[in-house]
Amino acid sequence: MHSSISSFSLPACLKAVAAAAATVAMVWVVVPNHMPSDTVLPLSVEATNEFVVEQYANAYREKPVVIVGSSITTMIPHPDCVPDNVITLPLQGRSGLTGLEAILRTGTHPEVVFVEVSTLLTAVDEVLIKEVFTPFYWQLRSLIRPLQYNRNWVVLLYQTKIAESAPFNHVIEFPSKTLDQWNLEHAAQFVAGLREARNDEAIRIVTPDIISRVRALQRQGTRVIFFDPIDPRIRNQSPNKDLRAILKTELPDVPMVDAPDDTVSIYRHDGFHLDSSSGLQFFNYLMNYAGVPFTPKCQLIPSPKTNN
Amino acid sequence: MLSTDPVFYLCGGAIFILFYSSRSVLFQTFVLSAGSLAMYATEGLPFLFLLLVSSGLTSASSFLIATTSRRTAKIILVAGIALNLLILGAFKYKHLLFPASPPLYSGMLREFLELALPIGISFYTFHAISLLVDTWRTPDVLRHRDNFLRHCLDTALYLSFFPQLVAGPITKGKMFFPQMVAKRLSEIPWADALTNIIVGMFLKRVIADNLNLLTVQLTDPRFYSGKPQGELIAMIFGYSAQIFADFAGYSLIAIGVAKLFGYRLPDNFNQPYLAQSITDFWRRWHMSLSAWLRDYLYIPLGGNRFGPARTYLNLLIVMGLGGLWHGADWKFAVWGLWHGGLLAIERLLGIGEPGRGGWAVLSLVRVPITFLLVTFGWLLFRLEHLGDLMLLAQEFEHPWRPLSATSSGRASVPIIYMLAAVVVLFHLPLRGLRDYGPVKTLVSTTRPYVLGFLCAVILMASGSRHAFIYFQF
Repeated sequence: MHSSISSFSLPACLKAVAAAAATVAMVWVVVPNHMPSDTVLPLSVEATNEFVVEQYANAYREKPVVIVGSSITTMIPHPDCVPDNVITLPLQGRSGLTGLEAILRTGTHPEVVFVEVSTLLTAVDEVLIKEVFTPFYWQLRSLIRPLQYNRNWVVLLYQTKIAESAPFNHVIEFPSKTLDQWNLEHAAQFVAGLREARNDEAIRIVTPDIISRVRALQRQGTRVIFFDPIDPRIRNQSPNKDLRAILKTELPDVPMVDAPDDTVSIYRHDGFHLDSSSGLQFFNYLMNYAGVPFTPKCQLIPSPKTNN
Repeated sequence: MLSTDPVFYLCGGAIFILFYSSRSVLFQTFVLSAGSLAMYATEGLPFLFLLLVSSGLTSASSFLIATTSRRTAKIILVAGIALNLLILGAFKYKHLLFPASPPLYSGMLREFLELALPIGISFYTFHAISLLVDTWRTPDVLRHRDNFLRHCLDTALYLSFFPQLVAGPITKGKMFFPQMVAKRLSEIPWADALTNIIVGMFLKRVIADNLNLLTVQLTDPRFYSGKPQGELIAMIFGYSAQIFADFAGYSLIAIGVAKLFGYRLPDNFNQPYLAQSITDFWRRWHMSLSAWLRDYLYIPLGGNRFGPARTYLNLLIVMGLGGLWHGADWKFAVWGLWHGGLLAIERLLGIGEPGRGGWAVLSLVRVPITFLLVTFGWLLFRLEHLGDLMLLAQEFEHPWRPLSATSSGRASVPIIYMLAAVVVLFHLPLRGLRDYGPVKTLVSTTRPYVLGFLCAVILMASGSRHAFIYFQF
């Protein structure tokens, strides 16, 4: 583009600023607070995680109950089944440590925070935290809704179209197979997880990070509860066994809630990631354990199949 | 540091204030080069060290080329180019020479292999070579042939000038050096510069970054396997729009920021998807690279002076190396050979020049054909591995899957085309209209409002911030 202006023009600048402000104000009026579906877009890992954390920081940081973890937490419960008083921060390829850091950065004081244990060996994603919590700018984005990533019009368009094309009926069904049949079919996916490996160095490095963040939350009155949804066989071998032992020693006041495999059928895809029905079951179990009241958003249709 | 990062503009602003606090060329050159090097240092001190080595080497070589006899100068020219290429080769192509994972090696080799690719190395190496060759051809290019230290400062600025350091546009030495004169605040073309920056930012943050969210699944067969073919086609075309928006956006930002410091960088894009042939495409796409390859590689290799067979071979060599310059992966070499082969075929058939080889109406056919050929080539950029091309092709062997088969298909395809439509707007042949009186008046009257609106859109509709595609090169 060519210009007829060769020097700085204050009136032109003021016109531009006015046009920008008017556009933002108009969009602010039009953009809804929430969409029919606030689920995450199928993006790259980094973008998805950024979306999750930013959405938490901007829109949902006042929720009293927070569940932090890795992709394993994605189905605890299904994103469309999360009750109104709960928010989950499932970060792909990351761990609950990044979620804990995000809570601390927002400066909010949730009543209860559930922390997924099995992936805690993964350190805080500093790049993600830096990206979302740009000083000053993230607070500005919190105040002005149109500036938020989850209110980006591309995201809004996408979510609207998803909601139109695949309305969620809030019913979660058990798999039609028995647990034994299921596990047999998924046996190949379990192999990697069942391979025992020691990782003492990572545990030594990450433990102080976990302790400091848990203690920081506790100091502000938050109840912290560890939860472990993975297959009991994987849970009871290194490095999970070692990490759990250290956490029990260093943080004896923090309860550790394991998936109730001994009382209900828990379906996993690979020893780590729960099927949506099992995720919802485990979520209900966690809420009951913590005594957190909630209004269920989804109905669980019990399976007629049993192992017997 | 990304030029979409607010910190880039904070640092740039500080340099700007210092830069214009004096009218001394020496002071301005010092401030700009020191500021540029300081910004580059944020990427890592080893990278800065390497840039300083390249700068020192290029300063000494070019100084000697300009001040010694032609015979000695020639030896120094060859040595200077070879050393610069050696640094580029060692850091950029080390994984082609040692393809196994670094932990499998030991000692210093392992440490060396674990070093990340220095950002912008391909660009500043090309700048260095340009300066050496231009000095050899015209020693007057150097401003300070009697003062080595001042020449070192000039060279440091030329190689490290922060708007163009990491991804160009590649500015020839003979274009940049004469511009190193005293700059005045009153000479800044504000409207032009800000228009470049805002439009560039819009292309990058709104179009390219949002398109990236929707085309990223092409990088992994696990993600695109089983998707409706219509969605895959949208992603493939979407990537063509994305790479244009990404790189043209970056180039516009670089050109705009450089204008704020009184420097003119070469244009890099001229509606490339309106090209009527691959020959025409390379006159419109990454024009500064094409010009570099032509002047410093194709012509020295003999160009078209030694008969058709040698010309075709030169085209293949130049484009193959040009492809490999984009990345240390054989897929880039294949991409370069794809373009080199097409250029050779066009030359053989005499259809390379736009408007020739048929009536003007043929351009209606030639433009889409060229676009499809270019788009096919971009797949090599987007796909992670060369072999994935076959996996993607296999998706089209299955019975046609309707878009309605997946919710993501229904949701993402219209958005991809909507964003790509903006890239189409950038290709409308409206250039002549801008000089038409009433249109000119309308443009200058509405420009502040349009730029303000674009700023708001950039703030509100940016996708997740991604590095520029060309940063990896």
